Amino acid sequence: MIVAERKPIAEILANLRQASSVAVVGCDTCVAVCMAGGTKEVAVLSAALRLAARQEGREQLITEACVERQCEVEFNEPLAELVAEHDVILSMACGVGVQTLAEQYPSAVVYPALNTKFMGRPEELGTWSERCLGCGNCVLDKFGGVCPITRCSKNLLNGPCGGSQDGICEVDPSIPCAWQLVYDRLVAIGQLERLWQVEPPKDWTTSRDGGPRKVVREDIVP
Amino acid sequence: MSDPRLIEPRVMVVGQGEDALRAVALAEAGGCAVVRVPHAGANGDGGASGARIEGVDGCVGGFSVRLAGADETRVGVGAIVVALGNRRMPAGVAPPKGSHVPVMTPVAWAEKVRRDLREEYRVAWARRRVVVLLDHPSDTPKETSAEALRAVQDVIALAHPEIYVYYRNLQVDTHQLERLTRETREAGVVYCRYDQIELAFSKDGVTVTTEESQRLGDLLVVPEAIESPAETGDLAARTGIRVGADGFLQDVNMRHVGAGQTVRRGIYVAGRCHLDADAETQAADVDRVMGRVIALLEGGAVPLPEQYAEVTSEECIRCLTCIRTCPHGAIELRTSEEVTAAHVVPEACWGCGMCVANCPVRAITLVPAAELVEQEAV
Amino acid sequence: MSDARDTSPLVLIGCQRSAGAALARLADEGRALPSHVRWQSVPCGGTIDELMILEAFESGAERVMVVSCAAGACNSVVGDERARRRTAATRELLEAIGIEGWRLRYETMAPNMGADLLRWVDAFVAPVEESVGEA
Repeated sequence: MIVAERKPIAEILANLRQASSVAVVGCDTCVAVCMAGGTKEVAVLSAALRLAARQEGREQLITEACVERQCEVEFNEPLAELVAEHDVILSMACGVGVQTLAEQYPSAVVYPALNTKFMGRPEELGTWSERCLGCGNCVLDKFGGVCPITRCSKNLLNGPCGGSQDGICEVDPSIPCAWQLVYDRLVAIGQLERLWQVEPPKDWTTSRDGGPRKVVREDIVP
Repeated sequence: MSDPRLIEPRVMVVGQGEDALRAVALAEAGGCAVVRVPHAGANGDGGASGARIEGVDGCVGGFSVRLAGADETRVGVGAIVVALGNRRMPAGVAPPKGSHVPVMTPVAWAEKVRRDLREEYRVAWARRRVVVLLDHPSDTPKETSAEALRAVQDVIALAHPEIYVYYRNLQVDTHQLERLTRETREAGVVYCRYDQIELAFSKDGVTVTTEESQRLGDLLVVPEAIESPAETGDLAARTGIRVGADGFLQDVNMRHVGAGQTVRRGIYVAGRCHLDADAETQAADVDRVMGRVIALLEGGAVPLPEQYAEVTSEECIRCLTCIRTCPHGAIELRTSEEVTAAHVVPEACWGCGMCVANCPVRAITLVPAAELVEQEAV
Repeated sequence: MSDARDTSPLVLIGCQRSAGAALARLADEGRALPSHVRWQSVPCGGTIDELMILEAFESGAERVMVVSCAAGACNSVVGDERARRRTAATRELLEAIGIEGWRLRYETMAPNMGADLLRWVDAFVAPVEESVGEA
């Protein structure tokens, strides 16, 4: 899922001070699950914004709202009135949701309240870590289900590097060496000989480096 | 999974020592069906024999226990009583190789004196300087402290060595320790309190140095430590109950909920595995826990707590946060009329509200139960 | 320390087993919280979250004290730890919006510590030196 976290309050406030009314709009899909922008977090941030306005002697109307999934225009349609009635829309969705609102309501001023970080999974309650950076050409079959693009700090396709020590990456002791993980998994599933295959340099055109991407199901488009 | 409002009329007793046997006997006498699971020797890396628990699903009144090493792989029970007992371990005092200073447990020491009682040995025993070392390296439990002082009494009834009892935190409120310390003092045993202690072994004996004195002893008596059985951690993880900082299974705060109830309603701990008390008190503890269990199973329905958490299933986004948050194992994912959502089992809920605080979509509220219940009932 | 008592509005959020029980005992002795203190009961320290604390400040509190059972005494095991951490996170939030961190305080107690609770409420004033912080 998409994992995001709330921006520092100071940064959020910097964009809001001139507004006399702010609609705080959350999203109850990915950002709710990673506890950054769902109904609950909308309520918390809104309370903080009201207190900030009071502290600074500003009159500011803060309205709370939340939609099921902010990247879908149908779910954002009921927001039309809210958008029209507020100077600023503060979106607590991921970057996709923020942009959807901006595209859907072109005359609205839409600001992000979150920093969208990565695609990842929860390791335990309250901790999410990165697993996929969307390179566009999945090679997980070659590496026992461990992605060296995402999990290796150097994106190595023929690792490990010399900095792998006791299964830990030299970049940060909290990062496991992805290639140690790849090795262990291939051993566990009896596919270690796959590593004899030397991988050529990655073609990054399927990733962001090839420009913004699009996926089309020709059989489904009307 | 059975409806937890109706009680599965069976109790599972986990453990194989004295406490477990007592619990089983009481359950049977009370007319309850009993399932026995020794869960012995399980520490995650094999070496276990006999039946053991793999996991416990469900809630009070309708637990579904997954077993390994047993005839049935799944058993339904209404309540679970964990009575693993405890184990004796030698305290960590060992003389260096080549030292001739005997180091013995109090029981072994008293036994040796009893056996060695021929004339010349009686004289030899009279010339000994015995150091009884309590609370080192960590506090000696009262049970083995009392055992040590009883051994002291046994020995001084037969011979007259000089006996010095070194202690740091000897509490005398139970186990007859007040009487034992008084009587042994009156019989000439010297009590030495210490904060810091050093033991130096040499060919002449063991030099015991504290802030107040230095003495040479030629026999060191050290009571055993009492520890939780090796399988405690494994069992706790598999049943969803807690282990305290001392390594023993943990009740919830006894003052409020009553002895024996763990964080998971319907799972109890009884006897030595959670209580450092004399044999009589530990047996009484097993009796009290079994009394509650039998009353629960006879009651035929699980009482509701004063208030419990309720999920509005239409709003649930199935993020699993509440299930992971709940310290009582009271929440599960349930599908009802084709809607899958988190569901709090009211009878297993403690109304703590942690799930309410954590739900990212505010889909959980605390509701008062239809009928008020005594807190001690379950 | 100033001699004048701070009687600005104070909200006391406490779990029913610690502060709640203590207040009941105080009531038996004819003692109570001062009138500028509003008492808010929760079932457990774990129930307390940022929103509850922020709403207390929004409702007019100038100081908020959060009280739970002591470590090891919580019936739900982790309620005190959650209360402590949620309070700390809220304090950071408050400081970022210009409300001084000392205005939010966290304490643990047992039900027999009612007298301490009253003392803490009375002593809940602005620190004299900037360096006096609250854990």
